[in-house]
Amino acid sequence: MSVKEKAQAMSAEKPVDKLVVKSVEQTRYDAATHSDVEKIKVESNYLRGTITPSLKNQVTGAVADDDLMLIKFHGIYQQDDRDIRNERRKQKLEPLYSFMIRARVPGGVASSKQYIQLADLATRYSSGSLRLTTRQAYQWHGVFKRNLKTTIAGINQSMLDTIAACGDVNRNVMSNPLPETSSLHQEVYQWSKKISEHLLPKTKAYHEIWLDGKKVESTEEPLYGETYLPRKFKTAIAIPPYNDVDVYANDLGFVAIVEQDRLVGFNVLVGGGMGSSHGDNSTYPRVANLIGFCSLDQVLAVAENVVKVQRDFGNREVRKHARLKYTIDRLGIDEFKKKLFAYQGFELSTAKHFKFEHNADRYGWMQDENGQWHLTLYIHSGRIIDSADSKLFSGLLEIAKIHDGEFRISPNQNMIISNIQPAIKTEIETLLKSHNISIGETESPTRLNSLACVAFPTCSLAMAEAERYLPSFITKLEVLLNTYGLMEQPINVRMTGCPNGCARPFLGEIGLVGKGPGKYNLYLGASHSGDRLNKIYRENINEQSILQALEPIIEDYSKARQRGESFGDFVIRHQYIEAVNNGLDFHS
Amino acid sequence: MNKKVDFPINVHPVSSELLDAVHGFDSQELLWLSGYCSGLAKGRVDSSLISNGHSNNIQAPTIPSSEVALKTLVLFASQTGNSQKIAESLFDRLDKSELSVELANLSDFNSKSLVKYQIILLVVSTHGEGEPPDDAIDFYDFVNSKRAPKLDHAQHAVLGLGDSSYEFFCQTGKDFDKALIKLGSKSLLERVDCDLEYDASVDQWISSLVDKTAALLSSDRIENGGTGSFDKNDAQLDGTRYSKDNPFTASILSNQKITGEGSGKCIHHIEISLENSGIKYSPGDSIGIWAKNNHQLVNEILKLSSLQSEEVVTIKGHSKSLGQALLENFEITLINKEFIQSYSELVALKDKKKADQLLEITSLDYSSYIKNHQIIDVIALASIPLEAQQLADLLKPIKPRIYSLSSSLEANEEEAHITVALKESVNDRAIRRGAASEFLIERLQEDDEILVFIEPNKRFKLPADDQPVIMIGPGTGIAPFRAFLQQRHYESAVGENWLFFGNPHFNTDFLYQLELQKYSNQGMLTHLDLAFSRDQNEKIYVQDRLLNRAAEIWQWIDNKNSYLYVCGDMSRMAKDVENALTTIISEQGGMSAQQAKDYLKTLKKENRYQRDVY
Repeated sequence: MSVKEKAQAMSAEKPVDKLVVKSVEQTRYDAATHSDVEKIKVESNYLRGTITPSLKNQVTGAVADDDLMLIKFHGIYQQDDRDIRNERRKQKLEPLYSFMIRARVPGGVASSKQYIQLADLATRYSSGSLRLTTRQAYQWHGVFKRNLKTTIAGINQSMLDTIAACGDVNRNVMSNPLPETSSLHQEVYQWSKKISEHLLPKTKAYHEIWLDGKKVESTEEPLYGETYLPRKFKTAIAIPPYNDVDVYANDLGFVAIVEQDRLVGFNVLVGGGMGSSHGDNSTYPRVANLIGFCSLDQVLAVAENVVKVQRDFGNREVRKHARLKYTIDRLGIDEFKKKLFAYQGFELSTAKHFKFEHNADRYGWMQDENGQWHLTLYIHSGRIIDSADSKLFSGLLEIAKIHDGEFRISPNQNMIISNIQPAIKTEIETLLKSHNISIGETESPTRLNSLACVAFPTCSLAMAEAERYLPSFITKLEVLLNTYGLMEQPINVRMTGCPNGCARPFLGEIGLVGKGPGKYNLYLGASHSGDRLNKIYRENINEQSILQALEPIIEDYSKARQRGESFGDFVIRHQYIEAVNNGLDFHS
Repeated sequence: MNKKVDFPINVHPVSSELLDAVHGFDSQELLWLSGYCSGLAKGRVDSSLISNGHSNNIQAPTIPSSEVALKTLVLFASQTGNSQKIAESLFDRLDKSELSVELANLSDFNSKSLVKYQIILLVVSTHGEGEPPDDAIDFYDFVNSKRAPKLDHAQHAVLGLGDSSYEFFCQTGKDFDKALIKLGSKSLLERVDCDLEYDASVDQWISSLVDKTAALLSSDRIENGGTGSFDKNDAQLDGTRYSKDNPFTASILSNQKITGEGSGKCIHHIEISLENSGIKYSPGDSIGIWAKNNHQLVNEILKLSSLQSEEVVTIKGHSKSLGQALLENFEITLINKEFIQSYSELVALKDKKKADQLLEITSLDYSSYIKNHQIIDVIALASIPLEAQQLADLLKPIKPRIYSLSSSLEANEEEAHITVALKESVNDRAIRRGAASEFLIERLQEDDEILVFIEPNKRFKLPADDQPVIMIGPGTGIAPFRAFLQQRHYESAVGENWLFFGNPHFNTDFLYQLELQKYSNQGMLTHLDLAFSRDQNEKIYVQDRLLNRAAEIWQWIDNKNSYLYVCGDMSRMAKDVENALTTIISEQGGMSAQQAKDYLKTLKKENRYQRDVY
């Protein structure tokens, strides 16, 4: 019996509530009220749109406007080099369009062989670098339209794919990379794969367009329907005490519960999300609600039905109110639970106790219970590239050639070379040295805890720099930390070019969100473990003002902090900022 | 006649769908239709006049007076769509009045036509640190440049959109307001700066404008009897007096590189003002340019010949300093045989061996030698001290360089555009640059003066409006076809257009990409076939693209009586293209190679195969 049938069977056996489960009917497109994107989806014939003609059109390096939204479902974003956009307009040239391709890698795990294939594609068709994302995916940037199909075919040859890496569907399912305990990691990683596959769109459009698959007249989306979800949907699994995946920032979160060294099930969290819009208080970041515990045999049914409730009750009129977090705040968490339990046909039991300690990576070498080695490398902003200082791209490729284990992406955009046989540890150390690759021994804890999104020059949403600017900002922050003897104290710094939240800025103890060139909103007060949001402290200020604003607080922190007190907790206790306990407080 | 307008400002009184339908007709059908329509129109005009009780006073229908008097333009630049929505609702409101209103997105608006309007209404947002949105940048630069027209006849109103949490709140709106006032326009309504919550102030702004314009409309009728006109007083200027020997002193309007960053080619689009010259030209014509030689090159020649710039020489009976003469009067780049001969003779007087060497080196492979060497390289082979007059006598007078015009005069009043590639060659001594391309590209700036004249080309002309044309113009060979397309667009010509263009790379070398995309999207450019030779492993050129489309090309030539045009490089491209055409004619038309060549000759005789190759 498939999971779906099982869920239905359970539903038949055990009606929880009198609530009539509204069927897929509710996802029917309503031209009068629904957003333009809904129209594009419904008219796309299950994500086909005019992507194929768009790829063939030689007159432009872009795709047709309506396809912009659809290619996201295929794991692709169209971007352009914003540094030269105005120059090119004067040159009577269209913007320099290129595409970002994202591979869906459940749990961020790829074999060495796969890694070599992915890196090879980067050398041939993109800007010669790979980017690790904060959601454990690989990205290729700067792929031109004429090379898109070849690149995506190449990714599929490596047995990974890009479908549903972006778009209004469930995206890459994250799981804790957990180098410490291999058997537990293996088990949880398998769950991330199962959930990811269970929630995949079923359209044949992907194979038709990118892999020259046979044209199929019509396809069905039993789970999603022809309008898919109202908005993106993110899922993550955390294994306490580590919250590397920032489970509270996801639409759907699972917290692994281990009893007597055995995984017994998951606590379920719903309604987390980072995105918000400047100047619009009806949008806000939100941490997820804990709604109960599910046993292992219930996991897929829970995932499927949270998606279904969001599918049927999410806002399809205003896209910026469409994420699950707003659906929950509109329905109320109790009403949401009622609907979910009715959909899935069973109630969740009471949540089990768990405790997170932090959400940072543990750098360097580590040996697991089986004697295998794991190496966590610090990768600045997740960018694997050869630079003058460090030949990271070439070095990792050389390591992949002699290593028969895995490459795991951490949710902090770092790379964990996993399951290294003790016999080749020295050889790998030599390669690291000869390529000048840091294993995070020399960087300050604050630098190691910092995250930035891509922003300029390729992201169309960016209002300010992030990835290119963060290193120099951290250097200046380190001067302050050094002055007050805090160099060994890790503080989470998160910087993004816009408020959409790719680097989860609203969970930064110091959050910087771009407002304009060189100008940021400064947020303070998130917890160090990622279970409390920050709040705006100063608006639209430049670097000098940011440092001036931070210095007295850092000084105070150095003198008055309590034992083990994190920076995020301190600024609240000393009343620099109020604590945000739920998303609706974010703007208050 | 109120119409929503897309790029460029379009004044057809009928919908584009209707025009598209007509495009499919052949010439006989069109002729019949034009007669039919004119008969129909006559009937309608008459009956409408009768029904209005003017039957005793039949006259040709006149355009409503307000249309001439108060042309109104609603402009917007939208990044997020907000200003577009506001502009559209303003347009809808004004459109109900008797004003002649047009609506345009700044990204598509031809800045030069601004002068045609008497009421200019602008909705614009501000970005980042007070910068205009992308779509508005060109227009922003234009109204703040010396090219901006006087707007004494105009009135304007600006609505700025912004976010007051930024330091430079609504800066772009403020800047535009200031710029328009500086150009002489009067403020019709005080500028409104809107914050994030703008609905109320926008409604107020629109209502005030509706009232204001209504008041203007009625006062205009009273004051001018509705005949108010602001057309430029066009004094009859005779452009024909300018010639090669009596060139017009034109000024540079803009000099813009149009190959992108990282391109191996340096190609510029240069706009030249013909203001007040009365000069006329038609698409296909060329422009002659008197270039000035490079100062540094002159100095190097002087040094090699141990001469001083101030020494005096006589040219055609006039005295002039040698330095000045080398800059303006002499050809000092292109090598000719006479120069080599005469110079070697002078060298021989001092050193026979060196003179022989010089002759040997230059004559070994003369045609390839002159490709990447210049006069200075010959002198450097055996430099000797010269008398000033000796050098002057060695050199030929400078010749003007001729460029195919890339503009239509009617679409760009009093302007001439050219598309110039920097000619560069490398030899073992230095990088040598073409005298004129270096002058035009490296040294000419906005407002600089330049001597020009028109070189008509009667053998490269567009056919009748309804005839299809196939244009093959890779590289700068696209120049006259830009002029053709502008002209056909301006005239709303119904004939189909097919362009073949090629260059090394799509990303950087797609000349006039934005313009061609617009023609393509509008359907005016029926086909646009591109050959980017270096974007894939195998090299692809325009001739390959021609062969790809053989059947359809043959259909255009044979069935549609299409005209064929080729412009660009003579030595290789034009030859390869001709071979490809011969192949197509032979294979598709079932002819022998000789028959195909004869067929092409016939086309040439009938002016259906025209070339501008160099």
